[in-house]
Amino acid sequence: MSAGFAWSKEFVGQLGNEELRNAYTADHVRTRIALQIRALREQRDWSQAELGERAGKPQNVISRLEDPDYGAVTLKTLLGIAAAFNLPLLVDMPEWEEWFDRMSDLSSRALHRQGFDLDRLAAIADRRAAATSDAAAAFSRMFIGQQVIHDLYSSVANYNSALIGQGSREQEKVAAMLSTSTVPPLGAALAAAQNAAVAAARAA
Amino acid sequence: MALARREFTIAKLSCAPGRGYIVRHRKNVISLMVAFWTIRCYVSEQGVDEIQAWYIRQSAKVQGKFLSRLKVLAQLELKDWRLPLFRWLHGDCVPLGELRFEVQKVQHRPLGYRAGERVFTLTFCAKEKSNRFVPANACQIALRHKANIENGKGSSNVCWLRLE
Repeated sequence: MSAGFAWSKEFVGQLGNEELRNAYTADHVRTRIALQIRALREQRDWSQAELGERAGKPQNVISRLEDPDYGAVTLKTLLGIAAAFNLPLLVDMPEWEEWFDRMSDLSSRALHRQGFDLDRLAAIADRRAAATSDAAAAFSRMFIGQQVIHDLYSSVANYNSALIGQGSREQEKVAAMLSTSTVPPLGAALAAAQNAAVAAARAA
Repeated sequence: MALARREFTIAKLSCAPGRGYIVRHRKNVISLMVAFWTIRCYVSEQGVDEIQAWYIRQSAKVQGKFLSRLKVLAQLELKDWRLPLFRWLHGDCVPLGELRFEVQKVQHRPLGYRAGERVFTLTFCAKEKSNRFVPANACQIALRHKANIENGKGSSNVCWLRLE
């Protein structure tokens, strides 16, 4: 569920002209970069001069970077600005639908980011590892359950074959074995796996 | 059951301070949207949408950039309607504001005014050269169109461009 704008087929239809589409895309990318630099700077209560100091650039360069009409931003400059914010940089050529989604909210709040924080990242890594482990265990239980049930069915089939021509004492033995089995039925294993997956998703 | 859980999540988010969210229900699909500005366009006494007429006369580059800027502004909080994307004008031009963008060294300045809580009405599209509007009386024209809307001589339409 996106917290930004949806994009309709009518909206996309307006971008059918290649020259218009290229102008739209270029301006949207430049505007997003400019707005994000400003949003990140203001999130940290830095002046343009302060960001300039941290990035090793004069204030007027920062001012230009915050102007969407400035068309000469270089990758090197962006890497330097990202480093000043303690952030990584992502340059990508995504599918259009992904691009529309990513560009769907340019509000300053949506552009705020947290700098590199080892403790925070370690906690996220731990949570993800635990979630993965829970899910793996649940699936493992499910597959073991399936295997045991398969073995049981095989045993029953073998017994049934063997029972042909034998007395009812053998039939009673099969019934007793099935009734005292501690193996959970397949449905329960699936439910356990599903519950673990839901819990893992919540934790993540 | 799943629907009820979704509605609960949205209800919590809609209470988030400082940000307007609206919830859309369409064919059992619920989506969460950032509250949107409505952009309106001046329609003359003759029934001509003057902003659309201006748009049609522009190059594809100008059209693309104009669409981009409208879409960006429409999703920003009022406090973020500021330079370098936008500027509220002073003096004789109050209460007008100008969208600001450049295409091939031409500074475009579509002018309009805030016509409601989240409504902005475009009334005239000017240019700027050497810190002056082209035409020089752009503010007066934009204000006259605003007056026409208010006294019923003209009107305004919701912008024909789709922003979502």
